[in-house]
Amino acid sequence: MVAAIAVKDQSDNTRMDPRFGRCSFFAIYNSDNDYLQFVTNPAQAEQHGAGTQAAQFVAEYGVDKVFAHEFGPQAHEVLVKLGIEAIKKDEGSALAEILAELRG
Amino acid sequence: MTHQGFRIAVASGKGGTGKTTVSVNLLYAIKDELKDKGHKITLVDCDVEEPNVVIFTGGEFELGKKSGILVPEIIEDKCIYCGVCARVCNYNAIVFVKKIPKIMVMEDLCHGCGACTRFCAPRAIKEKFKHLGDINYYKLQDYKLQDNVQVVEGRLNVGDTVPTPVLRDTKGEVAHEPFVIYDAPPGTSCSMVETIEDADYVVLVSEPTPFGLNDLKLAYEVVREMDKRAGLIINRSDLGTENTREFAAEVGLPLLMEIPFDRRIAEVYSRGGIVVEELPDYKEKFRRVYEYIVHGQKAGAPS
Repeated sequence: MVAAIAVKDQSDNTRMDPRFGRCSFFAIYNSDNDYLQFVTNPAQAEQHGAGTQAAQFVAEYGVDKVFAHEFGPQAHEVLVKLGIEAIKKDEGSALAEILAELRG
Repeated sequence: MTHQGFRIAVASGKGGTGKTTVSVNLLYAIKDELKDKGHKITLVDCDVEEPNVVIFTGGEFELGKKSGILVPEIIEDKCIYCGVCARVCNYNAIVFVKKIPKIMVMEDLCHGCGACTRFCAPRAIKEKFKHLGDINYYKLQDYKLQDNVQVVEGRLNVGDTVPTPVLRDTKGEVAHEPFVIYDAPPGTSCSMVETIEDADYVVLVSEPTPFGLNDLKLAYEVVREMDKRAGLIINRSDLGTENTREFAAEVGLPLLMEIPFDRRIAEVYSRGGIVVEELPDYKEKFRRVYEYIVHGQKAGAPS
């Protein structure tokens, strides 16, 4: 299972960025090999359709789940159509908490 | 600009400064003069996101024409999943995921520019019409107005977020009319730029408050950038500060008129009446603004 988490910085103790489409980074976590990587969100400064771009971007990593505080309507629609689960978490949730949850 | 025709846009940076009041009263102040010369005058409500001119002029819905854009539809059999359409889209309205592969169109984000269709090598895109809004005509209740005053509005569908195509179609609808007043949307957005683009003169309406001035400066910048003739009307001119007048003097923006915070205006307005019809002194003021715009003569002294 692969998950993308919208986060503020590239560090293990970072917190969730409230916005999905315009978040700074995505933490991409693969539970099969317990591998975590940080990637810059290329859509963060888009003038139009940041949400759809961000959704397209994480989909290329083959994610099954996406975590953010809020999803815009367009981004949400794209994720649903791609069969990706969009999961809302409290603003300011720690990346570590979400990873712990994913690791079960 | 002459008595042979004009396109006057009434705009403002800030909302609620009195654009529509000015547009409607300007129309009523000059309609008889134009009628005597055998001309028709058209008032166009360009605030397609919330048109309100007809509330003041009164009028019964007469005719609506559909307005919209062509949005892409992907013919999956022909699609080679190259992703070019998604790359050329400036509005990110096409989502392409190579890994699956999957391609989809987000119609709400599409501005109908047609770039995707043009760049699709296998011609896997066909365009279909998407209804975005309507261009509405109203039959004015006052029969004396019917033969020389026309009110046209653009109205964007509730829930749609792309106003400019409806605005463009609405302007196209009146392109052949010689005497036109555009009631512009507030702000300095695409819709405001689109409205004043083919105006000969822009009347900026502001109020002498810090917010009013801030937004006036932005609107003035747009007008200057577009190289338009412009003048200023200060509404509720006896409230607030002197800063707005000082700004106008500094940049050389002619002060066309000041409308004081006059109880008589409030009374007429709250009844849904037309100020210049009930208060002759204001009719004269608006007429002088028109004379100034058309002939470049000095408008009446500020009240």
